[in-house]
Amino acid sequence: MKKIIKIIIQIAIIYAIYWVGNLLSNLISHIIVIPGNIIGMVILLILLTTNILKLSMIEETSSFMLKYMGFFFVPLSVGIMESYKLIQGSIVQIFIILVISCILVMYVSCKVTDVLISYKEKSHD
Amino acid sequence: MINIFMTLSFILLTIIVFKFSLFINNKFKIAFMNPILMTAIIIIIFLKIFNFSYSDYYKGGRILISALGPIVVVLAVPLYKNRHELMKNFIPIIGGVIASIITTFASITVLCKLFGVDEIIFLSLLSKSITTPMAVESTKMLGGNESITILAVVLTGLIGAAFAPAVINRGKIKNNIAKGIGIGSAAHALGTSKAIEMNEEAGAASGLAIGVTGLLTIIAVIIFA
Repeated sequence: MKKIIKIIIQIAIIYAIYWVGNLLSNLISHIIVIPGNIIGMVILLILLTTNILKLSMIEETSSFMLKYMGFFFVPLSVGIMESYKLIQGSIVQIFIILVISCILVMYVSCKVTDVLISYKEKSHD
Repeated sequence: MINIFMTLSFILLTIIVFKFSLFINNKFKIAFMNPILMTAIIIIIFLKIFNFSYSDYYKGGRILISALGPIVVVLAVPLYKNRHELMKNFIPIIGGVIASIITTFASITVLCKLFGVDEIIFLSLLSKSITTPMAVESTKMLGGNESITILAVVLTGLIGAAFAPAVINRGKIKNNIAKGIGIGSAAHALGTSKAIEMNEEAGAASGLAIGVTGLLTIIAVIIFA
């Protein structure tokens, strides 16, 4: 029972932060669009680094959510069965474009970061 | 009553199929396959066979999708645990993200010209690497079609998760932060779910990359559009 209450409190904390994130996101939306979940991520990071919130207060729930993160993307992916109709005429071209671009972007970004990190480490030695 | 039953059934179905896909993916390493993609394919086949529409499935799916907001919030945890290592590499991280944004814009421009797709599709694909709400805003400013952007974002995430191991192995990427930045900046949160599987440091960097890439893309669009 104690464990269940603990988990419920953890979920409540995370949702409260998400809610505040959405609130702030709406407030600044006419200046720049930053999603509520991204703002929530920054808020949680600030709360943790300033020690206002202890990691142990959300640890079980957050590690569970991150472990099964992929699961929650399933419904969006199933949605392709409906939304592909928008681009029916050029679906093959678009798919090829996305595959090539994604691989290229991922490779360039990994490589640039990797090279910059090893350059930095070398210059420090 | 029937509605509630259907909602719960579709959630249960998703859980069972996902568990099954996890098991298969752990047992047999199938190239370019991952539990998310496999589950989605099985569920689409199931819906087609039994004549359910996506809007039937969406009654349950909606509830799962709504959990994605808090999950992104929780990405702050790996970020917090690895904050010293990430802060030390501030400049390489920003460099990697900027490289990713330039590559996205350049590759989409060239490839769309090459394949001769419509202008509206080209404008809708430019924001495909960033998280959905930001991508929608960016597309609005560029004058593209939001629905096409959402589809492109989901497809890019699936493609990124599928190809991430191959890109990292073939590209001989050793550093975990570099892996995470590449995955997160190319394939947002869906890719990040793959980075977290690799290790916590890569997951942290990938989570960070979602926010930074989204923000810098929006700023670039505001300046250039």
